Amino acid sequence: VLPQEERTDSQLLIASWDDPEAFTELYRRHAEDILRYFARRTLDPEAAAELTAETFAEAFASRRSYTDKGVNGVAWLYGIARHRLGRFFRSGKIDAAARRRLGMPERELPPEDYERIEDLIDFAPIREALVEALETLSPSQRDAMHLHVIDGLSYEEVADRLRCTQASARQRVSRGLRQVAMILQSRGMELATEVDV
Amino acid sequence: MNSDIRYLQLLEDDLREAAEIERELDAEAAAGAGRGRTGSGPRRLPRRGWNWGTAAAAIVALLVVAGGIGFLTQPKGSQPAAAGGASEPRPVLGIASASHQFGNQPVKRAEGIAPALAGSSPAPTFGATQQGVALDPFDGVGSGSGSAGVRSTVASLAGSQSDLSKIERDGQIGILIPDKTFSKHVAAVSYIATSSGGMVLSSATLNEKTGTFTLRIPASHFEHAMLQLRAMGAVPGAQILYQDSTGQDVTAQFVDLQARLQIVKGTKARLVSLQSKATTTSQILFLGNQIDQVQLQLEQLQGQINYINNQVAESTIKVELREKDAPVTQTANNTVKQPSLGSAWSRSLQGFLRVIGAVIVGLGYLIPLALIALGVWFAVTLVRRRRRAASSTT
Repeated sequence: VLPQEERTDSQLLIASWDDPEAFTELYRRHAEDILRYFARRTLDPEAAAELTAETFAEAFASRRSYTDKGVNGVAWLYGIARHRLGRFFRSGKIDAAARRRLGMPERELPPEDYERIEDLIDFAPIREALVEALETLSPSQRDAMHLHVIDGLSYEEVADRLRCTQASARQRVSRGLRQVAMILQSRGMELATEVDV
Repeated sequence: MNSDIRYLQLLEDDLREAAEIERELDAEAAAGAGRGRTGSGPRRLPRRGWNWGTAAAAIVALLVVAGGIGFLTQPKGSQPAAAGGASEPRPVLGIASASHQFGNQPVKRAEGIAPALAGSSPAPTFGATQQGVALDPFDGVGSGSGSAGVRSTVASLAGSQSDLSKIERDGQIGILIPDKTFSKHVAAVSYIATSSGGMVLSSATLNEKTGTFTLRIPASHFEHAMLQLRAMGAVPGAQILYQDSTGQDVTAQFVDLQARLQIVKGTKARLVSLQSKATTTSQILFLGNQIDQVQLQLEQLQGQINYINNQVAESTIKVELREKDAPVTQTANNTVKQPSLGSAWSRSLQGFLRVIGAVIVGLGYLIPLALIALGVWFAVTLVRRRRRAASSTT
């Protein structure tokens, strides 16, 4: 039997039927890529994190339905991710059914992760489109996003400029980004290329 | 974990915990069942977040499908009653019983049926015992000459009529007839009415395909007429949708009215006699008023007796004819008579019971299919898992 590090994604998924640890190896390999996938499309660190959690929870719960038909196991994982993303854009909500089924908690995104996830987003290609989309936001959201996304200030600096707490600054940026992402998505604008799988 | 993102690290811990729970559940299942599970069977984590909304939607969908199947599988003939919803409950009798009695006699031979059945037309007969029973309720009615009057009245009635029983008979029958035979069957219904000494009181037809007819038939020919009508539904291609006959015994009410009539007549005779002997104007006026009041009572009683005699003398039969390809429509007879909360409640209850019945019928169809599907799914899943297990070990 091959060590887990040497197994393919498909082999890990099949092995995880009886050895859940194999699924953990699959998670380690692809968690950050999946998070980036969601972050570039939602432009929202909170939403991206939640969607990532829900995708892996659903993959774990339904791993026995995976069939090896010559397709890499990670393609199956991204299939779940695409489905989750589509539901999010349709409803604007993130379902936590898979996590509840597994008894997993719904965790808050730690403050230090916001900027780390935004690094994954890479705002440069969409900066110009964002300027136009910003006009649709409320003044408070627009100001927060302008300072953070366009001027590149940290949340601490944004909070100082807007005379609000850091949590409030993060919330304004997060909600503003979510709205902008939905607007851009509704206009058919591709925010990020598909991940090669 | 290679990533420095704290959220992903926490998520890995959560997945590990979920895996641990699953492993423990597997171990418990293997130890508790003692069946030597290999671990390849289906395992489920505790459903802490059971989606009740989805479950409820699934149940509702199942019931709706079952109800739809139930309604679709109902005999077409029973649908108008459900659609109309305003008609009286119709106990549908088995077609087999009608066929058993009449075989396959064609409708056009209704004339031939009539004389054959005429001889067997049963006139309701009640013997002396029946008359005695009918008299019992009047023992002690009034006193003295009054009681004697009642008895003499009943005695005279018994002498004038061979049968004291007064029974109101009503019937209804619905017949599904072959296509393009509506006119012929209408003629047959009319013939049955006239040959029984009755008539077609009213009729309503639609597109020469459906129609309802109200027949007034002498009570003595009620059974005869019903038998002939049922024979129409026993021929090949025809079907009796429903048939119902009811009888209400009003003998006691009739005899009571007769007795009261005799008493009032006696009272009037005595008042008239007294009036002829009156000597003062005040006595004449007083007795005149009394006589007027008694006369009014007398006429009311006579009217009620006449009504009963009329109802008893003739029976009503409602006949519905419908060709097989006729559209299901609500005919005039299905309109609500005397709308009230009571009738609305009754109709809603009927509708509720029909829906429940349809759902039960539909479930009867669905459950065997679901069991077969479950078996197939189980077999396919088993085969697929064995293949996967084989591929993972290689």
